[in-house]
Amino acid sequence: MRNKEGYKRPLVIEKPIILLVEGRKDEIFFKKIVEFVNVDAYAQIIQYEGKDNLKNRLDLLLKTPGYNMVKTLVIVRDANDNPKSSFQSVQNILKQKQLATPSKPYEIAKGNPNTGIVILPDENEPGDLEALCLKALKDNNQYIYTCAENYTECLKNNGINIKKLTKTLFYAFLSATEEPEITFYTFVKDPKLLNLNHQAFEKLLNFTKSLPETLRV
Amino acid sequence: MAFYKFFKIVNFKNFKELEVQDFGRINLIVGKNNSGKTALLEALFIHSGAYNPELVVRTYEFRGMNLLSPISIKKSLEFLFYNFDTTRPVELIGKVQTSKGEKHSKIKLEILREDERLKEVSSITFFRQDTPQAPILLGEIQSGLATVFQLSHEEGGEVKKYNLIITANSINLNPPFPAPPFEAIFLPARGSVPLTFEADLFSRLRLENLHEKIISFLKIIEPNLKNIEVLTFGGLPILYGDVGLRTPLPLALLGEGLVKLSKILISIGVAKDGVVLIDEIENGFHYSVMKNVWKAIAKMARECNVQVFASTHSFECIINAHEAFIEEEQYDLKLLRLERIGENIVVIDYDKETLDEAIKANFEVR
Repeated sequence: MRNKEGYKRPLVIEKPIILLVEGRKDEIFFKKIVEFVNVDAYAQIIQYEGKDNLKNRLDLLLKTPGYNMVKTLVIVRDANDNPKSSFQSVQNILKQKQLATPSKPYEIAKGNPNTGIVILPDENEPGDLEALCLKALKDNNQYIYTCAENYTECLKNNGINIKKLTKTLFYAFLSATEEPEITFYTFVKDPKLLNLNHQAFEKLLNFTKSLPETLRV
Repeated sequence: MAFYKFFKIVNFKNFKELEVQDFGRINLIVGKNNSGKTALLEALFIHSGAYNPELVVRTYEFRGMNLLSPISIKKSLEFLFYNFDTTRPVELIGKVQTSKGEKHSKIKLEILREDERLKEVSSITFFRQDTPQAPILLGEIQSGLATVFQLSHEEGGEVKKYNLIITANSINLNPPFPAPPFEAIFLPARGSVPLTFEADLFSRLRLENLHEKIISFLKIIEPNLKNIEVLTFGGLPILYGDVGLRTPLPLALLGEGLVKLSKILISIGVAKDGVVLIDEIENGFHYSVMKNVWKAIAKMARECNVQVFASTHSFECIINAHEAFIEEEQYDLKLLRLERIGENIVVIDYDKETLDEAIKANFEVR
C-alpha cells in the first residue's frame, strides 16, 4: 500500500489491550496517555475514523491477524451533544457483535475479550476530546482562555455559526501559544501545554493504568 | 458443474481439524508460512479426484519431491497424517453443488494395519505392475512387507475402497478406479508443468474453439501476441507464440507472466465445470498487470463454470483482485485466511465489504 507518506505497513494487532479511538487526534492523544501511565507495552491504539464507521471497523478488527490475542478492548467515543446516547450506541454495537457489554462508562465487562467504554470528555458531560483538554488548558492560562472565549463570542455576535464550540475554543487557545502553527500533535508532545497531571485527566489516567490488571485470568 | 460449498479436513498434514463453511467462485487463500495454504489446496485436489489414492503421491511431486522408489512413497505417506499419527485416518468431507443437486462425499485415507482388514484387501488377487504375472502374496501384505494405503469414498451411503499397495519394488493400484466426477487441475508453486502436458491441454481447448478467447486475454501481458499454436520441438509438441517476430517462439521463452497466465487460463478452459487450484498465484506477474490478470481469470472462470482456489502472500495481489472484482458484473471473490490458534488452524473469511474496509484502512488481512 502506498499513501502520502510512502509505503506503510498494513496494521496488525500486536498487543493484548486495544483502545479503539475515534480519529487521528484521539490516536495521538491516547498514545501519549498509555506512555504516561506506562502501559504502552500492553496497549495498542487503533482509530475507527468517526463514530459512523465504528461498526465496520469493529467487524474488521475482529478478523484482523492477532485479534485472538486480544484480552481487553476499550472503545473511546466523544459524548458530542448527548453522553448517554453516545454510550448506548457503543453498547448496542458491542451487543450486536455478541461481545461483553459494560453497563456504564469506565466499567470493564468480563468476557472474551473484556470490554470497556470511555466517553469524552466525561460520562455526564457533552463535548469531545478537545473539551477535556480545554479543562486543563483553562487552568493553565485563564487569561488566554478568556481571550479565546471572547473570540468565539465575537464570532457568534457576527452571525458566524460555530459547529463545535469546544474545537474552536481549543484551536483559538493554541493559536496564542509561542508556536502559531501548532498542531494537535505538537500540543500533545509539549508538556507545557498538555499537563497530564491536571485533575481533569485523573479518571482517564487511573482507568488506563488499571487496564493491565484485566489481563490477569 | 461442481462448486464446493463446504469442506472439512480431519487429521491431514498441519490440520487437526479445519472447516470452511462457505466458498466463492474465486477463493483467495492467505496466511502466514506453514499455516496450511498449500495443504488446503492439496486436500481439495485429493477430494476432487474422489477415487484415486495415487493423487496423494502427486501432491508431493507438486512440492518438488520426486518420489522415485516405493520406499520413498511409503515413507512419504506418513507425512500425510497430522502429527504423523498414522493410526487415525485422514478425512476429507465436501459438500459440492453439482448440476444434479448438492452432493456430500467423504474420503477416508488410511494405512491398513489390522490383520482382519488386510485379509479383506488380500482376498482380491493383485498383480505387480513390474511383473504382471506375479501376484502379491497374502503373506507379503500381512507381514508388513507391503504397505496398503486405502482410500474409501463414501457418498449417499455407498462406500467404495481403492488401494495403493506398495511392496519393496512395486506400486500397485487396485481395484481400478473410475474417472473423477469432475475435472481438477493443480498448478504448483514449485516445479513446472511439463511443456508437452501444456500443449496437450491447449489442443483440447483448440478443438472446442476456446483458444481465441485465451489469446485475447493473454494480450494483457503481451499486446503483440497474435497467435498460439502447437508445434513440435525436437519431436515433442509444445506451445509456440507468434508475437510478430520473424518466427514464432516457444511460449516458455516469452516471459514468466505470459507463461503463467497461459497455464492458468488453459487450465480453467480444460477444467470446464470443475476446479482449478493455483499455489502462489502472484509469482511471475508484475503488479501493474495484476488487476487485468484477475479480470481475465474472473471472466474465464465464469464462462467455463470453474471454481478457482488460489493461494498468495502478496497484499498487492489481494488489492488488485478486490478492485478487479468490484468492476466485474458480479463480485465473485472470497478471501480466506488460515490462522494458527494454539494447535488449531481456523479460517477467517472476508466478504466484499470487510475486505474493502481493510484495504481502505490499510489493515493486514494476510
